[in-house]
Amino acid sequence: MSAIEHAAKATGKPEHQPEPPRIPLLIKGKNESPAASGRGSGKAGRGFLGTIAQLPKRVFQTVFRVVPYPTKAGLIRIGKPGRSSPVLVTTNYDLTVRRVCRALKGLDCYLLVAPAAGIDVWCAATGGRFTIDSIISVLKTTGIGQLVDHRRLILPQLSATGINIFELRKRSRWSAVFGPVRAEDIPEYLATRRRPESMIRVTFSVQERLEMATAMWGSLSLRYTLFPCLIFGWKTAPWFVLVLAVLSFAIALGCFTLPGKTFVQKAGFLGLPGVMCLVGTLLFPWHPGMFFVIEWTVLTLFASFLVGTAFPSYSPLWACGYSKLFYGACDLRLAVVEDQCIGCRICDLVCPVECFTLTSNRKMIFADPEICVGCGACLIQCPTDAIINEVADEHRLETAHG
Amino acid sequence: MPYVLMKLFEEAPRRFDKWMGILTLGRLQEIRDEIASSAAGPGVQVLEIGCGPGTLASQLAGHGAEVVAIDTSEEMLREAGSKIEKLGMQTRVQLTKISAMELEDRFPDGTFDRVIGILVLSEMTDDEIDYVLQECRDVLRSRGQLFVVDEVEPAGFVYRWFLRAVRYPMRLVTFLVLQAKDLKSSKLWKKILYYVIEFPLMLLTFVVVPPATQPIRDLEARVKNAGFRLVRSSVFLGGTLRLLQAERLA
Repeated sequence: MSAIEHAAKATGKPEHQPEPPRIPLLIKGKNESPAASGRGSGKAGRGFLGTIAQLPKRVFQTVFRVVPYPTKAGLIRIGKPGRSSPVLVTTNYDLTVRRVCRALKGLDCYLLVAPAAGIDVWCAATGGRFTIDSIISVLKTTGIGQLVDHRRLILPQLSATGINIFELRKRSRWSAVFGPVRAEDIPEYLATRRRPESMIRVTFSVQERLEMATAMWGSLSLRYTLFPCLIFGWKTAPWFVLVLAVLSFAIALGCFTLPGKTFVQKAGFLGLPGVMCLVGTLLFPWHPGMFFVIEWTVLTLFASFLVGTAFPSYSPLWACGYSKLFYGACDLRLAVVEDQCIGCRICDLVCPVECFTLTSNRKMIFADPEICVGCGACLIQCPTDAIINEVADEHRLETAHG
Repeated sequence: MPYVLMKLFEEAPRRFDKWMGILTLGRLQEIRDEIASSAAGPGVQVLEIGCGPGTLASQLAGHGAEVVAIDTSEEMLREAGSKIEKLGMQTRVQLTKISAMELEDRFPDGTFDRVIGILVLSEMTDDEIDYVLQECRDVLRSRGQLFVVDEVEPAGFVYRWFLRAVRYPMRLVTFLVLQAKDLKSSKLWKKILYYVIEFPLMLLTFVVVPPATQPIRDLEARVKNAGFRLVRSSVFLGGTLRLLQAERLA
C-alpha cells in the first residue's frame, strides 16, 4: 500500500500492539515534579526564604496579570496516583498551575499541563492557543496512557470555547468530560462526579473582583500614564496612577450596585462627584488654584473613562470591547435552529452564564441574550450545529453578494 | 486576559518561513534543492513534516517521489494546495492537516522511505522533539532516511553566548516589524491608538514570554538516541543551521 493510500485512510493504526515505553517519562527524579515540593511550580525552595525569592514574581503576576506567564508543560503527580486515578488537564499559565495544584492538595491524581503559550485556560482556548493539538502533545510526551488504565480526561469547563470534545475523542481516542469552572470545586467534583449549577457558572466574588481590579490598574497605568504626563508634566504620573487605583477598586467593588447601564456611566457616577467637589472649591476664597482644579478634573474624568471602558474586559460577566476595536472580532448574536436541536443540553452545560433554557418540547432556546458574554462555547460544542451566530451569517451573506 | 494578546503569537513563527530565505541568505533554498535531488526518486515514499507553503513538497514530487506533506496550519496547507494544483501534482502530493505528534496514529510502522523536516523541530519543546524523532523512526522502513534541517546552538562557549545575545535584538526587530505589518492596512488613528495603548503591554509580553522558536541543543545526540545512525551532518551560516541525514537502524 502506498504512503498516499495510508494518508487517505483517516483511521489510525489498527491494533497497534502494546508499545514499548518510548518516552523518558516525567518520573525521572520525583523531586522535579512541582507537586512533590508542595508548590505550584518553579524550583523555588520552601519556607520563608523561598517565599521572599518568589515575591517579585508574585507581585509581577498580580499587577500584570494580563501578560502571559509560561511554565513548563508536562505531567504533575498530585499525591500518590494509581492506575485508575483521574487525569485532569490545564494550561501552562504559571498562576493557573499553582492554583490548581493548591486546590488538588490531598488528592491522588494526575495533572496534565498542556502547552498554551502561558495563557490561562479561558483566554487560551478562546484565542486558539489551547487546542486539541496541545492536549495531544501533552498526552503523547508524558506517556500518561501507560500510567493509567482508563482513557478519560477531565477538562476545565472554560476550555469549552476551544476544545470540541467529540473531535478530541476522534483524534486522540481519549474521551473527555468537562469538570467544574473553578479549580477549588475539583475535590468535590471528583468525590461526587456531579456538577451542580454552582460549578458550571462563573462567579465574580469580592476576592475575584479585587484581583481583577489590581490587574486592570496595572495594565491601565502602564498604558495610559503617558497622556496626562504629556499635558501636565511628569509629576502628574503618581497622582494619575493613584486615581486609577481608587477608581479601579471602586468600580470593581460596585460593579453590581452602581447605577447606570453601561460601565462608562457607572464610572462616570464615580468620577463626577469628585469633579464637582473640585469645582465647588472654587466658590471658596481659599480655593487651591485654578490650575490644580483643572488638572485634577482632567485626570479624574480621563481615568473614569478608561476604567469604565476597560472594566468589562476584566470581568467574566460582561463582554470585552477591545478585541472588536483592534482586531475586528466578530459580534455574537446567537440563535438556536429548532429543527436541528436534539435537546442534549450541552450548550447549557458549557455556558459560563445562563443563556439557555430547555423548553417543554425538549428543545433549547437562547433565552437570555442580555447576559451572553460571547465566549462561543456553545457554538463550538453543539454536536448538530444547531446554534448559529446570526451576525457572522449576515456578514458571510454580505461578502458573498458584494 | 484580553483576547488581543493572542494576536501577538499567532503565526509569528510561520511567517518566518518567507523571511527565512532572506535570513539564511538563500541557503535554505540551496539545501532544499539538495535534499530534493538526493532524497527523492521515482516511486520513493516521502513524508514531509511541517510542509509550510509546499515548496519542498512540490520539488520532491517533481523528482518523481510520492509525498505526504503534513502541517498544522490550515492557511499554509491552502497555500500549498494551490501551488501543487498549479503544478498539476495532485496525484503525487497528499496534504494532510495533522500534527507531527500524531504520526503513529495515522501511519503504520515502516510506511516511508524518507522523512524530512525543515525548521519544524525548533518550534517544539524538548519533550516534543524527542517524541517526534522516535515517531519518525517508527514510520520509516528499515534503512529509511531522515533529513532534518534546523537552527542549532553552535559550538564554542563564547560564540554561543555571543549569538544568544545577538538573537534578542534580532527578535525584537522581527517583533516590531510584524506588529507594523499587522497594522499596515489600518487607519492612521487606529495605528496611533494601537502603538500608544496596546504596544506597552505587547512589549512586556515580549519580554516575559520565551520565543516561539528556539535553537536546538544536541540535535545529533538526540537523533542518535531516537535510533538512527548519522550519515551526514553539515553546518551552514556560521554553525547556526545544521543539516542532518540519518539512517534508521534496523
